Amino acid sequence: MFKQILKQWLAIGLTVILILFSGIMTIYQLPRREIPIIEHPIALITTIYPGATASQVEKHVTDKLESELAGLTGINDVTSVSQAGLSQITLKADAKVNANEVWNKVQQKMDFAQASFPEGVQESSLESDLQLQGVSIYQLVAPEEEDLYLLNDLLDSWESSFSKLPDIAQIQIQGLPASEILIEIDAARMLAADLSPLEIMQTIQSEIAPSPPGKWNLDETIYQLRLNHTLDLNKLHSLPLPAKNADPALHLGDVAKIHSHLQDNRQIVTYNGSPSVSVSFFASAGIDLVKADREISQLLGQLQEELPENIEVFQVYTQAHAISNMFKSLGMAFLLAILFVVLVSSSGLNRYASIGVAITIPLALCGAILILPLAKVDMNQITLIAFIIVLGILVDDAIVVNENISRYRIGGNSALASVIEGTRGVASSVIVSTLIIIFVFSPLLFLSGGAGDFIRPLPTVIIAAIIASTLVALLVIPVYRYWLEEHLQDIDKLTQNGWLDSQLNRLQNYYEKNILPKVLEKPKKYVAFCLLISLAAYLLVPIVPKEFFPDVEREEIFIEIELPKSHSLASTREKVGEIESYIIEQTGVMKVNTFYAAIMPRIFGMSNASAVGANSANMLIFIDNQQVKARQVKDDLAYELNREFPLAYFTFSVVESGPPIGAPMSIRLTGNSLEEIQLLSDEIKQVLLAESGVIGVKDDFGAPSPALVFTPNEAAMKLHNVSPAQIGQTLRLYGEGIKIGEIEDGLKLQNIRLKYKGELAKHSPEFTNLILFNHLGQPIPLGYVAAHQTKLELEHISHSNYQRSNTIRAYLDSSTSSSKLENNLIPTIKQLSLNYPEIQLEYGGENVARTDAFIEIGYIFVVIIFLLLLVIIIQFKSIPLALIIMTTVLLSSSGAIYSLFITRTPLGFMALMGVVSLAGIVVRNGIILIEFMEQKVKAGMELITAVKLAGGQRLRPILLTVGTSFFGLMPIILGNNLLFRPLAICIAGGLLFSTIFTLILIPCAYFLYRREKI
Amino acid sequence: MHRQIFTFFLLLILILSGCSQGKNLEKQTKPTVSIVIAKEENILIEQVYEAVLQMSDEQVISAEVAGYLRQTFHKVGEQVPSGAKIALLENNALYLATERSRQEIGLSEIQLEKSKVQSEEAKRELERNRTLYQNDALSKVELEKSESKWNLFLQNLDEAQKRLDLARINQKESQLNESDCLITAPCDLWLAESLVQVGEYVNTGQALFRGGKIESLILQIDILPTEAADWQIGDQLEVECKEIIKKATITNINQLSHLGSEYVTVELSLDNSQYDWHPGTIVQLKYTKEMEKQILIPVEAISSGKEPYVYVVKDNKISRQPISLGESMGSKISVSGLKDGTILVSGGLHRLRDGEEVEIKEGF
Repeated sequence: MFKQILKQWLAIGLTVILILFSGIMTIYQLPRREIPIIEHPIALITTIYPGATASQVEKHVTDKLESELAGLTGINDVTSVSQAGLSQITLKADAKVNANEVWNKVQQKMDFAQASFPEGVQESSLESDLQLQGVSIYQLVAPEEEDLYLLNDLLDSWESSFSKLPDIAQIQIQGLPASEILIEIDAARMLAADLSPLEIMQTIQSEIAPSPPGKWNLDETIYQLRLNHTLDLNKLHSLPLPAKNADPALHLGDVAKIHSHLQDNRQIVTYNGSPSVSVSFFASAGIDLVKADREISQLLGQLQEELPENIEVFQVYTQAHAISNMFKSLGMAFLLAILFVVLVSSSGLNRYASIGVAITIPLALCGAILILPLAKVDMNQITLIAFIIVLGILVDDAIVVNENISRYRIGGNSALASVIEGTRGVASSVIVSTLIIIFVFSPLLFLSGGAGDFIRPLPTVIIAAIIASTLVALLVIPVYRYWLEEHLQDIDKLTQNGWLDSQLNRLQNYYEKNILPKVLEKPKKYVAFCLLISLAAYLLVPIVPKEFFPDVEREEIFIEIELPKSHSLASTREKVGEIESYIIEQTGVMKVNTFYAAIMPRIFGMSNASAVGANSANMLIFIDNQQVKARQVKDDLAYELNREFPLAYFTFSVVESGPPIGAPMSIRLTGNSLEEIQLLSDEIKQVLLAESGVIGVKDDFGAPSPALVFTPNEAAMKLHNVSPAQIGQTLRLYGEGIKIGEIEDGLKLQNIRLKYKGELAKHSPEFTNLILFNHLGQPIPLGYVAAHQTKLELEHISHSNYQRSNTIRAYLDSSTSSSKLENNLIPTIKQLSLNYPEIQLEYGGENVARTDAFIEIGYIFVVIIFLLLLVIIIQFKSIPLALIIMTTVLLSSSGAIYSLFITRTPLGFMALMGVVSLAGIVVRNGIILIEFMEQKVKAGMELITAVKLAGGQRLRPILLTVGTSFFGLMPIILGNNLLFRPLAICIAGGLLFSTIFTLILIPCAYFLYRREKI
Repeated sequence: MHRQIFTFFLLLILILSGCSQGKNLEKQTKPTVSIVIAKEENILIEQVYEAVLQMSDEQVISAEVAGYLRQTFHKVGEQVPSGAKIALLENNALYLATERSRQEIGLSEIQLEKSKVQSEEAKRELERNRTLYQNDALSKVELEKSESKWNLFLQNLDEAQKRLDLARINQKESQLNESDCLITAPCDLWLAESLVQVGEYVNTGQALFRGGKIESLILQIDILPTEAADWQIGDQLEVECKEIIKKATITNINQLSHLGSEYVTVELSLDNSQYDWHPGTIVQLKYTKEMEKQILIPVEAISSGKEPYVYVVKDNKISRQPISLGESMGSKISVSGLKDGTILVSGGLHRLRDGEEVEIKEGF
């Protein structure tokens, strides 16, 4: 049958062209992104309870929702924050369940819980589309904030135009100054007119929201009724009031100032200090971001003409830019790698064999690419790096097959016979080595968590490419060789060798004649030496720097700024403005985008930037990364800003190249007593702050903020016909006011807010005279019914899995490792917690995430070793031989550690991936050597001769396969990709080290083992 | 041998290269803090009460007769001198009565004239008859006849006189009644309110206008008894209206004005000889009270663990000091547990550790 196939070279050739064509087409269809999608089915339940305190929100909203949610399966983490007026519950679904089903169940539970909410709580909303991918951020910049107000209607229409784009899932507009209608009632005039705020509220409400008229049944035909009623500011002014002794009739305008007003709780965005509106675009998962970005900028180009003249548009960030940069640099590395691989393989192979090998590369890659869409893998940097790694491996099979066919041909066989025999001779070992690669990489498919999602394209691509390359080696290469033999008359050309042939021969000779005899004289000594050197590497592990994922050399730096809670939006704007202008002056800083009282657009997958109060701002800084390095600027700014602005609290971060992992160190305290949690938190924070290298400590609670606590007097309330609700209402009317409805203003609904006119008294003893209206509408001074007290209270009450909790996070400078810190501090913290037996401590953060991932990788590594052993034992039917071969894995790991140590590359997730990948590559060297030695020994050759001969004969294929892998990785090692350098260094270093020592250790160990046996 | 030494050094260099520390900027770890000084301060507590200005000597002008309000001569808010016309009522019955009495007088006068003429005639006839009788030109019967005729006319004359007098009295009465329709000011007063519209019918005794004196105005406020304890009759308070400030004097503190509730009504009077403030206006009454001296510190300098605390700075070292909170005074809080002049960390307390050394920085 094989013969038949060989003759169908035309069909095979066409198939090859078809695969190449469809592979190339697929490349253009695969969505491109920076890093793989990391599945985080997260949902957020938000409930607004205006005017309520943190503890009221906790008791009446969060607790009720959580007790409903507690029974749900499919959710593995529930955290919540209850703060004044707002409850937020974050749910994380299990990765294995269908998140949408879970969210539907959550929605049902929410409906149950809402039935028992007290009056005044607004409906809870469930938001579950957080797994959108950010595309780009634009800023519309105006000279004055008022100019932006004009953009309200325009951006409404933009939003609908953009959402019609097929690839755009969501548009986030921030910083648009929202206005509302403020009705400021004059307490004195109301007193004189004998009116209470309740009467005013009822009058306005019946005007804004008249009761719906319902339906009429006219002669068995149902008519829907509609009240055609409109309201505007003028109408509000002349709204008659039910005043008792007024003559002439009193209108709302007589007792209140009614005006349109910028909302106090609005978000402000600035771009390099000028007021701006931020427009961020998001695409749904699976969309090609580069394409989406192009669509956006095209449409924006058209829409831009509608903008007022004084508004300028800036593109602050686009993911497409980062992606195309990444693809450019990795693409270049990929092309270089192909060049190196072809060069290396041609060094030891003749021209036609080299062409055969060169054909394998695009064919195997295209074959692998065809499988990617089925495996739901898209084009990202992990996919590209996987292609680069696999380049060096996938040519191996082709090299072996080519070389063997050439050997038979040189041996004088006919073309057909040498192709058939040459292929058949190595088929089993080619298949075994492919199986080995599959066994090594397939466990990585099952790595869990964000790190697992992150790395999944790597094993997928490698396995797919290796299978494809094996098929190519066993089918296409023989056909190619047969075709070549048939069409090429000049047989001599086929026997010519590669451009490094003579050098390789000399090296082979030197190894066979000089090195091997020498080491085989004292095999025990050399085995011991190799093992010692190899084991010594593990002593270096503690001193090798560790970093789970490196910070990429990015342009963005994030700063979260929190001022003391007592700062209003205006004073925050002023103070942060100072900080902003300080930062703009720093060298290398290109642009600064500040979000006041707003979260950063979730474009960067930053899950921990969460400061949103009026006292906070999130700053996005872009640096020129040719001039300065993000990490350095971050450290410098951290130091300088903390010195210059001691009252502000800064949290700095840069984009992580891996999955998000949060703070370097975190400790979660859970228990029932808020007070105890608070006390222990305080003690732990003191311990953390005492440690050098800690640049910031934060917790969920935050700094306590001043509170005025009003305590009603029951007897007095009864006497004066006052209810606690009226006291609450009065306090709100004097403060932020009460939203009493909405009014349609052009396109948008505008809030109507009622409050008392004028400034509040400054001193708390003066509050006793604030006027309160009782049930009968009579004025009563507040002091008659309630006493007040100044206190410091927590602004946030957080829960974790239905229990009160506080998470303390420690941020470190770049030179401090979190593991060291943890080792130092955990005993002390444990000691402290002994005084609070009710409180549970849980450690997390980068270190724990890293430890968990390392443990899992360790477990996977053990599985891989067993799989390898299994394959080898099946092939050689000998456990000692299998163990000898496995020493190559030991050597390669040691080599990886040495190379990390020498290059001062941190040991992290990617380095470990390198170590795991190495196992599959190096073990084949051992197999090639041992297999040949066994063949010769079994053929009756003298042991020492067989070992020497095998060494000499197999040096070339070993050097070639190792060389292709080694040089294929060079562009990455020498390039500036921080994420993949550790991986490439591990593989290259491990290969080099392991190859050198394998060539000594394996012959010696085999020699010893056989000698003992004989 | 050389080769071994070479290899050894090569290895050594490699290992040392691995051990070398990367660029590592050693930075000062002392945190910077800004400071604030705890100060003992006088606090003036300003209480503001809203009150409505009232007239003194308030009067109600009522209708003495019923009728339609025909006309008013002064507007509300005008000062009216004593006796000046304010309004006119209209009553047809009264008018007719006056007319009737006038007619009656006319008739009575004619009657009187007629009686006078008749009595003159009778007198002349009697005298002629008497002469005739004395001359015996007439019989005694005829004389007596004319005597009784004269007497009769004399009585008629008397009756006509009396009827005229009666008619005059009637006229006077109806005139008096009619003059009640004109409403005049009983004394100098300020017209505060008109209770009836022109054209409206009023009954006898119905109130038409409210007025009073505004040379001095009256204010009433309800205050808590604790506050009232500081106040005394004769104390002066500032009253503000439309940015004009006047002084008011406490004239009465009525503890019993609101039975069943615990608050107290205070009455004050205010000089308004310029007539520039008018009753019904809402004014603000300000009472400034000096509190005991208190230590005030900014809110941001306080944090809280088991109890509220501050960081006291001494010799560039900070230490926690527990305090207790008093009243809040805007951006500051009054505290106890601190001495006047203590230097405190002004904010960012969460970054600091008890007992650590700090560097002091001025400003924000």
